[in-house]
Amino acid sequence: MQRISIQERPGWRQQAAEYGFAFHTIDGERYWDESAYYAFTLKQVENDLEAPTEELHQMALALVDEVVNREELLGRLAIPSLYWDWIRDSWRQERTHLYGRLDLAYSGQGPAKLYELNYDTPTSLYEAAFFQWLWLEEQIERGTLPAAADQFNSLQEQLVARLGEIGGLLPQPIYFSAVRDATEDLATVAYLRDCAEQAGIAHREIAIEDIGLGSDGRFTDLDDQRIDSLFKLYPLETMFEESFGAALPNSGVQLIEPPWKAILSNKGILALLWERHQNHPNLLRAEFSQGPVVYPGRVRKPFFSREGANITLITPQGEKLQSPGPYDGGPTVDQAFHPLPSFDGRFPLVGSWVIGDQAAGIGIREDRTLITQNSSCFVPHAII
Amino acid sequence: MKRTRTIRLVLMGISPLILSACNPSVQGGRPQPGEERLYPNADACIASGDFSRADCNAAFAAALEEHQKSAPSFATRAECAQQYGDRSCAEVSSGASGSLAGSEATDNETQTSHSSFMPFMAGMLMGRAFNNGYARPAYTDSNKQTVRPGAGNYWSGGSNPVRQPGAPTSLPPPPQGKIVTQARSGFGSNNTARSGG
Repeated sequence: MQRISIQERPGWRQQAAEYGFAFHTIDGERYWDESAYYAFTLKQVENDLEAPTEELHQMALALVDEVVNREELLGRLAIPSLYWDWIRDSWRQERTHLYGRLDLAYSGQGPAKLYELNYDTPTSLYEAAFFQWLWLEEQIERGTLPAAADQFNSLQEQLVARLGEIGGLLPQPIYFSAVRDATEDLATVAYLRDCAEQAGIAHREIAIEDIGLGSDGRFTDLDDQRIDSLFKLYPLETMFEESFGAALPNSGVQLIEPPWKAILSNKGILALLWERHQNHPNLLRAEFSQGPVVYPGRVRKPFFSREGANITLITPQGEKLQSPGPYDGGPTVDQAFHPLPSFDGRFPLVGSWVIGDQAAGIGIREDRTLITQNSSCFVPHAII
Repeated sequence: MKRTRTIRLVLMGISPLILSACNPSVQGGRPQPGEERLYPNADACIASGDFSRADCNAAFAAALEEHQKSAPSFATRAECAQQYGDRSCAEVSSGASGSLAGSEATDNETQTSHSSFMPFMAGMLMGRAFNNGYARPAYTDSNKQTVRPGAGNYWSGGSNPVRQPGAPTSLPPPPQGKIVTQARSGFGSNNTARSGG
């Protein structure tokens, strides 16, 4: 694994604008950064990223199977009891999960370590699946990368196939929903609708804020049509706390991601995974936080934090790093400190995607600090 | 190859896009769901062995029908040529449909108010959709390097339905009827919650 500087494609900004990648620059700061790429060997990708991703995914599914049947664990994960039966039922039904992203710390040597799972509302999908792919093809075409260069990225192919399967299991149309003014989320939703179109399934769009609740307890669109199937790029645990939340279990709505993903989007499972698989090469030691003190060599993460928010990190030397955020005050988990590798002063985090139940590709975000946040850059990769 | 073979966007962006991975060795084998292949005509499709004869013919008919219905239309030859290339545009008179083999009008021909210009259909893009097939007309780009797809049209599986294993034979029924919405904005109050992670 190397970080290699490379010439940018001259027209990429215009191309990004033409193909819906409006957030390539965020608040004047570069988000898509193709001035460099990460080079992997095929062996690194297959042995150190792809295979562990599928193994960790299976470990996570086994954990869901255990948690849904043990109420003390649902309670321990701070999931409101109102939703327990609904979550359990969704697990026993035909599974309609689309995707998830595992965040891995990987340096090219030794095993990748799981930082966390983003299994409910993962983003950076469009740039990983589509724009990164374009980058590779065009750099090969320009002769900047060798013709044999490849990429671990069958994301779009697998998204289309998986959406086709889901479309066969759920009532159509599937509504795709995100917060109205969230540029990045709307692009992700537009991209998924494009994939849905290619899969031949009927789809519509609705802002999360526009969803209505009907007299019969069902959710409705702006034309008062019933919403039977809803893809929501909006956290389940947030929906649980909102005024329509209590209507979810009896609304008949089929969610993507399904309700059982509330277990896997919860960082408390890092402690449960460690309890069940101590010393697994891809896991970091983790336990439920005891008391307010974070000890050196530990990273404290809220159960429900997103985008690297509200993380407290104490290095073994006692240096403290903290990220701000809105998730203060809830339960937390403490994970062993395992710093991201440094390449030219940048810290890359490998986002390893699972579509359905298959490892399907990676996207790398790098930050100037040890905590990867939503200000990080997305840097493409190649298999050389 | 560890990457998607063919990628396309049909809804996002200012114009549809289709691209194939550089390595030509990936061609061959049954097209995957979401993968489209380009055939100049039904015969080429049949010869490829990718689809059955009946499917190739049905798909080509669907693509041609879509072309006739919704091919891009331009008031002048120059506008059409700018997007589809000098020798790729045909004049059609109002009321007539675009033709696959339409004769090229000469440049000095007078433009009348009832004619328009359309690109020739250069071939069809054909793929497997969920439990039927999907085909659409394809046009050459002005630089002749890429293919610009037109709107799509489904064709039913015909004698050899293209179906994924385990898929149901029909789609679930669409939602029925209107209901009275009593409230909105019950989700999304916390718009900092967003997605991500």
